[in-house]
Amino acid sequence: MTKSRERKRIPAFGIFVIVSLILLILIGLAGFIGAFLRPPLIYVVLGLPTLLLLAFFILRLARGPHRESSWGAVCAESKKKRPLKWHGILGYVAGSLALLGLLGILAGAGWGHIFGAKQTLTLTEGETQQLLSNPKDSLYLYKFRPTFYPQSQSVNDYKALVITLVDSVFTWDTVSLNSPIKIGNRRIYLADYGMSADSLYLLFRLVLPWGDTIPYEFPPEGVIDDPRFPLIVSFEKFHIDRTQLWPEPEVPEVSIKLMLPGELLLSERLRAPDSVSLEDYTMFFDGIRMRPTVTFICLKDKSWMIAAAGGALLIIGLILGFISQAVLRFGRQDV
Amino acid sequence: MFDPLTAFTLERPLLIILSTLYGLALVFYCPPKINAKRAIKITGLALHITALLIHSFVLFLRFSSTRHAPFAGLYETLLFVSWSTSFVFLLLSWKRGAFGYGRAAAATSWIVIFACLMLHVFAYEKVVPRYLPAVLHTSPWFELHTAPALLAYALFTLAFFAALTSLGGNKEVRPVRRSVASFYLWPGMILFTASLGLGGAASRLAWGSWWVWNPKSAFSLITWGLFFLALLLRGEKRWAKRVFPWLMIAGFAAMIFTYLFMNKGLHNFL
Repeated sequence: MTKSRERKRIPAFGIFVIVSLILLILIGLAGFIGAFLRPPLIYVVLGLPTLLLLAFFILRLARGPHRESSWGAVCAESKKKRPLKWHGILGYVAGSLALLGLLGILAGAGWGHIFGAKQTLTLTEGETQQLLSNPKDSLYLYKFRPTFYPQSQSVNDYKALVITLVDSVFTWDTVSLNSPIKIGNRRIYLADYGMSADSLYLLFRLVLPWGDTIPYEFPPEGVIDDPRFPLIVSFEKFHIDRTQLWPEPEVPEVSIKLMLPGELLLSERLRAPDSVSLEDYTMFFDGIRMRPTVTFICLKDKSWMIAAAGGALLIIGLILGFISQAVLRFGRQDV
Repeated sequence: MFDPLTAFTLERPLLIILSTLYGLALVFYCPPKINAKRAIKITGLALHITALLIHSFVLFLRFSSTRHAPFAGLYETLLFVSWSTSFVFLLLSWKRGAFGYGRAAAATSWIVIFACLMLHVFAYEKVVPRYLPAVLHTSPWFELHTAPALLAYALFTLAFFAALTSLGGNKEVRPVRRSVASFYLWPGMILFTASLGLGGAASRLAWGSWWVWNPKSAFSLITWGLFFLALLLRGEKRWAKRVFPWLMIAGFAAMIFTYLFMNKGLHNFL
């Protein structure tokens, strides 16, 4: 009777184990070849072995607390000290908790995808965006500043001063890396920032003959034909990388041409605070200004609580499993 | 407290001393005569403990000069992994009949410390203390996430050696060796699972997602799956004999691959 039950059981385990292994190896290969698995493919590829592992786990637990099959029996091969009955029960409880934990983690992932809401916002200073597609809620980036390690150009933190409008309430707040702000039932994270050629602006002041001053901000390359500005301004492309910008920006030399349509009036190379004069007009080059692109994440999601509870149960299950077999010794002899 | 230059200067001679001590401990753990076994092995144990104390001082040097746990870069993590291997062995095994695995612990620590020494001599740019990226510098979870992962690596290494040796030997010794392997595997799994969970907490605090897909996290999950499968199969009599040791070997290979070759994206500071 026992033998026939054993025969039936083994092929089922065999199929689970072999298929799980093949799938795990396939994930490894896919990860290696395609480099970097991303959703939704990853869910399919990882989901199958996970389900098989769970099925395998359930199949084992279905046998009940047995000294030969539960986690408490991992040292059952040792003939000197056979596991006691309660070790088997403890192992069974451990297995059940671990299984519950795994299910909790999967439930948390599912809950987050179905009921959670997430939005990635990209803003530069002075910009506003809606939050979670709600026209009444918005986020305004007032200021963004990174901080640096002493005497280094390596960034050690960054902060953003933002104004939020949520549920008709204005709030000023500072969001920094690893310190999200909570507004109502949503959290806002400062995820990253980026610099590109578009983040740079050249600052000019045009002083008019009667003394008035008009400030201008131009992108650092190309031809500017701005109706607010009386002349056409042309800049030669220049390169500046991120490390030249902070903490003290190294101001590049700018090649500037001032033109009227079809007529070149002036061509100069300027370095702040140089200026050029054209008749009674004087144009000051004040340097550069950066407008980094800052990425925020707005989140409305409680799934982490389910996942955290699942993770805690899984760890408790593993600890109990360890206790259930750690009481057994594997002898004093060297092995 | 030590400034980075002093720490850097002190490290090299200490690494030479450490590799000598670990090497000697290994020699004493493998006595040529069976009769002389115990006394010689106790000498090996004494050398091993001395090496571990000096090793702890090297880690402290690193910590005091960088002001963060020694987990930034390959050199620092190697230093910690080799320390962890000897530490978990001395903490868990020496009274539990797994004394023989002292040679596995000493050999691992010796090889890894030798690799650290080679880095110090031939690739010092990889040894110079580095700044942590901002996301790790400001995270309270960084050390909490990394330390259990590296400790788990140490336990998996010892479990791997036990599983490997269980493929050989006589009928009496093989099951005991498998038990030794699972004895190391259990706390390894607890720590590794905790590390994945704490990584999730770190990720949640930084980006709001408790799981962020990147090569290292995907491969860590595969490693976890292999070791978890090994734990499940350990209770099955037939599978325990045939498949368990091979699963441990596969898990160890996945672990090494994850540790050394999957340092992209969020984990590129290694």
